[in-house]
Parts: sequence; C-alpha cells; structure tokens
Amino acid sequence: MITSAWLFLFAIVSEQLQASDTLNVGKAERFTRIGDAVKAAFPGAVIRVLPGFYQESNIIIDKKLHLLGVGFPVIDGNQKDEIFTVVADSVRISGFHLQNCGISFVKDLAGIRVDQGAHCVIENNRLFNTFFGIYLKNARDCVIRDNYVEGLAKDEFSSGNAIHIWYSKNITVEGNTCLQHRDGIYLEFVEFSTIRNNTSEKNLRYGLHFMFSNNDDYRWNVFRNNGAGVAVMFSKNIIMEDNLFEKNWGSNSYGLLLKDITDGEIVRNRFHRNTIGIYGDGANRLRMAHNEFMQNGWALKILGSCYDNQVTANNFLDNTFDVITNATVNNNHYHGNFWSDYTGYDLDRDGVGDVPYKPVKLFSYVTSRVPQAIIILRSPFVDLVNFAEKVMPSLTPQTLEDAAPLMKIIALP
Amino acid sequence: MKTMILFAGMLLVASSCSVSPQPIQYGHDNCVQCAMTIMDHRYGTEVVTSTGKAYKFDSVECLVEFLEEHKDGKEQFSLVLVTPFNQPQTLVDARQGHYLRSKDLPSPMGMYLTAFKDESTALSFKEEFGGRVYCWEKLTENFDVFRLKGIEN
Repeated sequence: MITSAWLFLFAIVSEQLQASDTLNVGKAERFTRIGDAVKAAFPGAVIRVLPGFYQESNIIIDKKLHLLGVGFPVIDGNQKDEIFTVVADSVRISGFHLQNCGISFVKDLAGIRVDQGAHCVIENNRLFNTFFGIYLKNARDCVIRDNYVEGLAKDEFSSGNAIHIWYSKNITVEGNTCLQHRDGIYLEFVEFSTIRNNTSEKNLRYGLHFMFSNNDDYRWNVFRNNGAGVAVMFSKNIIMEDNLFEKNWGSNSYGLLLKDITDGEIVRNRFHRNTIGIYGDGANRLRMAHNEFMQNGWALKILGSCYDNQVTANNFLDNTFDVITNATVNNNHYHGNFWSDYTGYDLDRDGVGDVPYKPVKLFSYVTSRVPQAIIILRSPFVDLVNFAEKVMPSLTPQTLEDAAPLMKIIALP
Repeated sequence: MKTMILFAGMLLVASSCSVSPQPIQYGHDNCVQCAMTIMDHRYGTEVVTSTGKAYKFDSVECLVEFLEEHKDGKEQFSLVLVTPFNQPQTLVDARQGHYLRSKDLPSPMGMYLTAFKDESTALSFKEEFGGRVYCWEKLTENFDVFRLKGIEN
C-alpha cells in the first residue's frame, strides 16, 4: 500500500517535472507563441521551438531558460522593437533564425539583448536585418558563439553593430560571422574578453572596434573589405595575434588603427592589400613581431606621437611604401626585419645586410604632405629624389633605420 | 579708378572664404580629434574658423577636447556647432546648446554627453533618461571632472 502511494506520488512529480522540463512551441503544440511558453515555463526549463514562422517581438526572458530552435524556426520582429531581451542569468539561446528588428534613433534595438546577465550563451543563431545583432550590456561570463549576423547597412543611418558589447567582463566571442553592419564587433568598456575565430566583412566602419577596453585579446580572426579593419582606441594591454587584415581599401582606410593605446602585442598577423597596414597615433610600448605586410599602400604609418614600439622580425613584401612618419626624430625601434625593397649586400654572409635599411622614402614624405603628388609615383624623377635622400638624408628622420635588415625572408608559421 | 577699387574690393570679398557651417559627410569624414569615421548622425559636431575652414568631430567630447587644445589663439573659431540629438544631421550653435549627461545615453566617446538645441528639450529628455543638464559654460568647466570620474546617475 505504502509503496503504491509512493509510486503514485512519484508519477505525479515526474509528470510535473516532465511538463516543466521541456515545453514545445509549434503550430500543433500546447504553445503556439514563444512568448507564452517563456511566461509559463519554470526556471531551468527547455523551450523547444519547432520549425515555422513566428511573428513575435519583445520576448523578455527573466529566468534561467534554454531556448532551443529546432531546424531554425524563423522569428520575425515585423520591424518593431527587439526580439529577445534577456534579463536573467544562465540563459541559453540557440538555433534560431531572427529577422527584422525595429530601427530606433533613440534606443539601440537588437535581435538578442542581454541586459545584466551572467553565464549566458548565445549560440548558433542566424540574424538578418536586425538593427543591432547581439547586444550585451553589463554582462559577464557570457559566450557568443557561431552566430551568423548579416545586416543591410548601406548607409550609416540605418545601421547598428553586429555584435555590440558594453560594460562587460569575461566575454568570449568566437566563430561568428559579421556582415554589413556599422562595426562588426564593437567593445566599449569591456575587460578580460576574448575575440577569436570570427570573420568580419563588408562592415561600413570597422571589422572590430575597441573603445576604452583593457586586457583583451583577439586571435585567428579575418577582417576583410571593411571601411577599416580593426580600430583599437584608448585601450591598454590588448593582445593581437594571428589575424588576417585584408583588402581594407579607401582614402582613409587601414588594416589596423591604433589610437592612444599602450602595452600591446601585435604578433603573427598578416596585412594584405590595405591602403595602410597599421596606422599608429599615440601608440606606445607595443611589440610588433613576425607579421607579414604584403602589397599595402603604406605598410606602417607611425606618427610622431608614438614612442618605444619594437618592430622586429617582420616581413615587408612589395608595399608601395614601407614606413611613413610625420616625425623628424625617431622614437621607435626597427630591427631585424626583412624588407623586399632592400638593395644592400651581405659580404660577411651572416644573413644580415651590411648597410642599414631606411624604410622611409623621401617621396612618401612628400605624399604625406601633398597627397596629390602620388600621381607621379612611378616617374624616374621620384627614383632620383629617393636616391638622393638615401645618400644624404635631409628630411627623413635619420635614426629611423633597420640596422640589421635580413637578407632572406623570414619563414612565418 | 573708382571702379577699379570697387572691382578689387569685390574680388577680395569673393576670394575670402565664407564662414558657414559645412555639412558632415557621415560615413566618410573622419573626426579630426580621434581619427574615427563619423557615423552617428545624432552626435556630429563641427568648428569653422574665421577663414572658413571646417574641423569635424564625431562627438561633443572631441569638440571640447579640440577647443581646449587650440586655446592658443592661432586660429579664430567663428562657429562652434553641435547636432541636437533629436534633430539628426542639423547643426546649431554649441554655446547656446544644452547638454544632458545621462548614463542611459552613451555617446560616441564614452562620456555620456548628448546635445540639445535648448534647455526645454534637454529637460524633456532628462525626464525620460535621467541625468543632469548643463549649459555650454558648465559643460566646459566640468569637462575634466567628467573625463576622470565615471558616471553615477
């Protein structure tokens, strides 16, 4: 008798658990709208959303839930408001196709917003035409992984950032694709975070943008065809390794913009075919090593406001100009790089050129003052001027030289 | 002779550049102060010198910093202009403007400064977003404090 009562009780409890454990949303299910299921669910439940088209917005998730899209159900915001707004910890959103958020000029509306959440995971979603894609505000210990975020940004008015993180800590952003937004990934006041294996392409402004963010790193990312590749501004201790900066073309474009930053590492990156590879203004105490600069207009543009940077063991290959500066004295250290334009010799055969290489050509100095002068770039007169300056430096900073230019290209991993 | 002088005078007038606001090309112009592409059309600012040269900025922050760094009087600034938050892409006199500093309105350069054309509009936005409203003089006076201290409202 007692046993059967226990069994009965157990049956009731387990049924309730079952009910609260997984809630299905779909045309023929108990819930037809995701918002209703979210309201009805107990904390810790899984909400399975079956394939279909759901016109919903402003779904507020205020408890620990796992929202799981099965076969990429489409959620259409109908150009109003946000779609998911998370205001709880440990929420997981995966497998959704979100589209058509509202556009507001006062509020930053987003496809998925996490506001003050911790330990949230946003994974494997596709977002189309959401004003801002994934937006984290006052969040910590969250992961944004393997999402595809595509915007329709044609002009700067209607565009937010694909992944926007603000005032957050310990965030991992990995494996995402960010297309056609204002900035691909934007970080403001973000600390101890990792950005890796992302692709950021065709964004109007920057592929990745750090503002007032310290102690972060980004690795193995691709930045291609953006207004400019990456901007690291007003930040400290940023590690930049193994990234590809490619085809960031335009009159004011660059692969990497460094503005007022100190103490970083720029290692093993590839800068291919950018107007300017790295543009440094107020960049101090950085180490640039084992990078490859290939076919850029200017490989490095280092302004006089940059101090104590180490440029060592890099390959400079077929750039129109290797280095340009507006400074008359050199405050940075160039040593042991390979320069494809080096014409010196190595009599003692130790692999190091016997005469220093001066990477700043007089003519690049002229073009920095008079940009239009670039049209005579290939004239013999320019070669003559450059040669004269090489023999008798008068305008270019005398100490800006690589005293140990390598004779052979460095094999980079 | 008289016509000659008149002609020369007219030539002089015509050749001296006119001091007028220049529209900010959002998405193309770079901020003179921070080098960023100016994108947010609610926040662009501008200074026009007495010779008609325009310096463009992406925010109130950069405008104030620029003015502080150019106090030496080498250049005279005839126009100092800001975009009112609720009237994107227009430019109004910064010195007449009022500024809301609210933690719910992040501005491009991280100091939460949003410009309005007049005090009443600024106050109505304060109703919605909270914060404090400053006139131009108070803004520039307190600027260093804003920069060093975070926001707490």
